[in-house]
Amino acid sequence: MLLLRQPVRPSHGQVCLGDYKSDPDTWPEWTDAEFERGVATSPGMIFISIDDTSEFVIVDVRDGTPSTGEAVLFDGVLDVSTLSVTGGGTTTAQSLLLPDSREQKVTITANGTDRSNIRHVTIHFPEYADPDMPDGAWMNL
Amino acid sequence: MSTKTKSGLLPILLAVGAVVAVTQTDIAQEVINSVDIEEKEADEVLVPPSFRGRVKECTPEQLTKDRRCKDLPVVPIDAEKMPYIARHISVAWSTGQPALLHYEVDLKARELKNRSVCTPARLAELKPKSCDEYPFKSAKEGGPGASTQGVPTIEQNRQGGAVGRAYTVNRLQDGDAFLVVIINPGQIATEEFEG
Repeated sequence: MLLLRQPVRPSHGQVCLGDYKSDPDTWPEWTDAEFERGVATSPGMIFISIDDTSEFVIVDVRDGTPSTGEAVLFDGVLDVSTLSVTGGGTTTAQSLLLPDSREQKVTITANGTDRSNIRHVTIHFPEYADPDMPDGAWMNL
Repeated sequence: MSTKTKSGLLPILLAVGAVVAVTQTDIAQEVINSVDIEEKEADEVLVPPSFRGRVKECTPEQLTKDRRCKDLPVVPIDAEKMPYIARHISVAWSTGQPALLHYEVDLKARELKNRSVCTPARLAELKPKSCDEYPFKSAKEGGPGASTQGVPTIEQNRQGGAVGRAYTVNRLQDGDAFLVVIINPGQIATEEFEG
């Protein structure tokens, strides 16, 4: 189910997802290996490298798990209670207060892995999936 | 990465007039000698001369770790990690762009600033390089009149983290002043990034 849709202008060549209350000294530094993968991670923050564009990148937050075939950028654990979705080089903005404040499973997918063409990013929180409110065609936004 | 040459950096640094640190090349020694500063002192931080006094009591380690010098918030740009961005900033300083900036909190205003300098035409011109703008769009001083230059995307990514960390650690509010400083200036690229 779609919980949030946030259009973001990438800034400093990236989109940042995570908790700005996490220690800034732990935020990703963008090693060469991380840049090669296109994703830099820390316990509370995930940066996605995107080439310069004047277009929006749409970031969706969903419960449940991604569909098969989606390009997975990150599959792991994120320590987050207040999720911010921003471009780089800023302080917190566009926040979603999550019901849990802890490390939680997160899968991040995108419309592709080519940084020159990433325009749609989805953060999936599988633990928030509600069996009593399954997605149907009416929710297939 | 480009090769350092004697001709590229000297005019820039002399124009900045600076607290310079370039110890690994002949040109570095020339700069140090020409501005008559001790090598140890020169080995640390680059700021325009009018701001040298504001950071002289803080080591590069302090500036990097604390992201402030006493009560002055600082955005440290490490030339070891961002040699081309550090070059762009030092060149911009030499042409009169300010080192002391003021935080712009309004995201819409930032976007307008960015679009006025890193226009779609400019992005296309620089591609695949990333359009770096100085002063930053996240500063009141950004926007029309800002300097732009093509830099490696990885440096742009790193700069975003460095800037965001400094803003967050210092809990900057709209209009708050911060000083941009260059750490490890001996690593500043001496030529523009060719892509």
